[in-house]
Amino acid sequence: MGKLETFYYDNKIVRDFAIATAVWGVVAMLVGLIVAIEIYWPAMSMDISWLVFSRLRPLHTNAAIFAFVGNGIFMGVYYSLQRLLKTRMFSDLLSKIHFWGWQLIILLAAITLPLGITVGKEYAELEWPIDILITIIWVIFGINMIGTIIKRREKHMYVAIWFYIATFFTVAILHLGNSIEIPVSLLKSYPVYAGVQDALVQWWYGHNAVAFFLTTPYLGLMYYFLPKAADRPIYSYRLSIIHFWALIFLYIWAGPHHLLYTALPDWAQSLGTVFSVMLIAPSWGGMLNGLLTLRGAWDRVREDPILKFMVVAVTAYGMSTFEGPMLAIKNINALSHYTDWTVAHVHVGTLGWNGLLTFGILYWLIPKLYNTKLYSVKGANFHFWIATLGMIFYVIPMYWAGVTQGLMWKQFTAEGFLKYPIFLETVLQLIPMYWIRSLGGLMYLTGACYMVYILYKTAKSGSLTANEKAEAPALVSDAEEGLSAASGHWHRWLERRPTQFFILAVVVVLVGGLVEIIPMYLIKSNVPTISSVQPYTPLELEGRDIYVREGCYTCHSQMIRPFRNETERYGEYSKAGEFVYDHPFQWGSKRTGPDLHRVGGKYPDSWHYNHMLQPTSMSPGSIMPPFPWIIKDDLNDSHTAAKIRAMQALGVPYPDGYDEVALDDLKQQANKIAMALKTDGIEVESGKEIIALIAYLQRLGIDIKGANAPGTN
Amino acid sequence: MAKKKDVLLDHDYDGIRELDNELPPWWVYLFWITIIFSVVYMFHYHVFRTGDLQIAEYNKEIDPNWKPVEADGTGGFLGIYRSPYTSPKGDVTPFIEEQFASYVGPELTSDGLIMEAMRRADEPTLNKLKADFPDLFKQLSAGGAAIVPKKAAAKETVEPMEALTDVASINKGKDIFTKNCVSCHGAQGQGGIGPNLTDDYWIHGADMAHIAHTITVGVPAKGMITWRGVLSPEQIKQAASYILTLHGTNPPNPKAPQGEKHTYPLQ
Repeated sequence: MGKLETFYYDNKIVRDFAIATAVWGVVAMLVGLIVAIEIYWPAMSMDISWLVFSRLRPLHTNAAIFAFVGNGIFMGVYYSLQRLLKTRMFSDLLSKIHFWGWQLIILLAAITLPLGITVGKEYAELEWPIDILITIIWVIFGINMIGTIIKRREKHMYVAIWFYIATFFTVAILHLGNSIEIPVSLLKSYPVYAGVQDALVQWWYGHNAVAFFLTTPYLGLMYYFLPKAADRPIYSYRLSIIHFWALIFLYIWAGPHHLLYTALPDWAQSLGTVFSVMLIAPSWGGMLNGLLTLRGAWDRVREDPILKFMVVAVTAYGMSTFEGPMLAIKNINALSHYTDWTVAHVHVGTLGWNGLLTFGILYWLIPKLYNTKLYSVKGANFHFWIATLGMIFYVIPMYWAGVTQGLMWKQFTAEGFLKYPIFLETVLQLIPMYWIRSLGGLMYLTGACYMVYILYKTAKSGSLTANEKAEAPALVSDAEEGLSAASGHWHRWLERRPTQFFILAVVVVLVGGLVEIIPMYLIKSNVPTISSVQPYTPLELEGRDIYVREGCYTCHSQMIRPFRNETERYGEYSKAGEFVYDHPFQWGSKRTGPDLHRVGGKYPDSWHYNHMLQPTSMSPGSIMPPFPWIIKDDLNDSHTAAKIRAMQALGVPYPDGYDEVALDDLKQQANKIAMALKTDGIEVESGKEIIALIAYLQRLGIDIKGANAPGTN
Repeated sequence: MAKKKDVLLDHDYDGIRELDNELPPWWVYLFWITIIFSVVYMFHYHVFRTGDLQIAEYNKEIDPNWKPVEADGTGGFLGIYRSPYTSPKGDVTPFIEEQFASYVGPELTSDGLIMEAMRRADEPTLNKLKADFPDLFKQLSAGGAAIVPKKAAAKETVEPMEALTDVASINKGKDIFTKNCVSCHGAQGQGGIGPNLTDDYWIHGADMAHIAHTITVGVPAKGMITWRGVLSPEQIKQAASYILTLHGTNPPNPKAPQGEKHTYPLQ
């Protein structure tokens, strides 16, 4: 035993993160509610560009993941890490920079995303300057955490800390790997990857954002706060060990399950499927250790709202980690993908697991920080019920909608025709479900607002202990304590050695990503080239950037799967070689509107013009919002040359010096389209954004059709 | 050894203790089952190749008699993307002819398609095609005139067809029209993106048979989709019959006449 030392826990930083969690949580849910209403009432955006569904949806997802859950992670880590290691955080200054830096990132996201400043990759939409800021702040968090581990007074690292370590390293790698971009200007960049490769890297990132941002850190929090709140020992130490290592090893492989039946090579898809299936048991290991820890405390679960929140959260975790692997099985994915089923699935995870666990932790933590009692246990109970019911009202209609639409897409008549050839029919069928979903969202948001009130009153009734006094003996070396590698369980040795632990975790995490991503680059047959596929013209490239800016991918896919119903509906299935110039890829993940991969040439230019101005004029009943600003605004072609150069740097084969003549080509093509519109009675200047967007839409998917494609002779 | 139950370890982290319970057996079995499933899955699809991967699955969905062909580098004209539309010998089936006609224009003949294929093929495919179709290859090397689609005939010969006149059919035709046609031809058929359907001028023929034919095959070059596949032949008949009733209704805001003037009553 070392000599007893006195030190102080930093509670103020925990309190700050707690406030940020609650406030951003409400904001994220509010934006979620707005987009949930906009989906059936598009007029709600009032023709204001920064209120349109497709720009707010990325704001909702980013706010929910990085603002709400992100701050929740830091709140929980800063509280538990200090106590589990019996020391104050490594540096108060780093804690402060971390806190304010993270809030700045969120603020920048909240400004840039509605303005359409986006990379166009899901959950990684933020542009390159913000990406750099995220990297810096995340590294500061890492230094602060590792520093704390190094100066610890507790010899062994508890399971929660294993999860924190894995989280830190993996999120850093995912973020860096997926965000490699070539800047064109301060607010615009292109990802270095294209098409299939971009898709694989994106979903390696996207899936593991779920795994290592929404799951592993929260498992760490569960391992601290659940036994604390229940006052029961963890059910099984050895289960912790096996489920931790299995989870971090297997998770990283599962990304391709977001790309089943796409142009991704079969071998990668199969890896995505099997590693998802193997994830059931390791995920359930966490659920079991959570639920079985409550043995002997179930009577208290009936009364204590905090435990209720935690039990339902852990149960929701168990449900969504069972459903996830099921959705990764190809037959099920063929039905569920692109539908609201996926939306339901992720909301069981975020509303249930992340949301409810966060609420439970907040109700436990705030009274502790403020040396007082919870202002209203009854109120917390009410919050529990309205949140749980809200979740049910959210997910059940979404499951219903998903299955309904998936089945409608696939339905053929006896004569062999599509039963619902008009895509819109399958959407209008879902409107009542969307209505109920927004009601569920409203309930969940109401509960969260009420929680903010209860926590405010609780804080008011006490006073913050900014620096909490604690005592612990200083750390003594293994030798002094008589410990050797052979003492106790073999894993104890690792728990005493953060460096070795860190290295092992890094190796275990990296394997899956490397095995999948490296061959995708090195083996040419993964993306067979198609000679008739040509780079975009400058005007099309500008149009594509408008497509990305407006977030069209939030509702439209560009990936026709090899199913008879899809080739009947949309045309020949999509091939890997068709996307080689797509920086970023825009395959999308949800079809609220039809697939657009072969929309090129399907309608006249004037149809697109009228449709963007008022979708219902061309498609009565459509729930697509109007985009009138695209009609009004002039195309900004001041970066066209730079864009061409950036594309050349990425290997797109424009001729040398093409950047200098690109604008001439752009104007020529724009004039042609303006003329075509004129013959249909539409007068529009050739310098408007709509011209570029039409050029892009008319180019989509036509290259393999051969002779008529631009760029072929 | 006796089964350990609820053995408390000497771990204490900020008051959190840990038990040393065995892993639940069903959990262990579950884990093993998923691992075995995964190994079997990978062997089935990627080692023994006994399972159909997605393109084979698709080909069978399109043609139940489809059989995989060993890839020998001489595949059909899109190389590894050979679709079920080509026979294993590389012949173009009527089905693919129809499909590609809708891509490159309805006038392209199968010879034209094969020449197009040669134009795009990689070296080994080209050699195979050259051996199979020496005449066409000669023609291609001489300039490949056959690829250029012939000028579309203004009016195609179609089988005569009687219009439906019963109220029920006309009403059904009206519903179909409202749902599918008004976005381009206007609510009263006055025209918009598409031509006016109420005047004496017709681009692709004014009688029942020609209107039904135009709906059936569409006018892809001008953006009218092929409605075959979306509407059944009966529905196309109903829609065409309804369109005939629009003639001479003089709706407001008519689109300027397009096409050839026809004298009514039609012959």
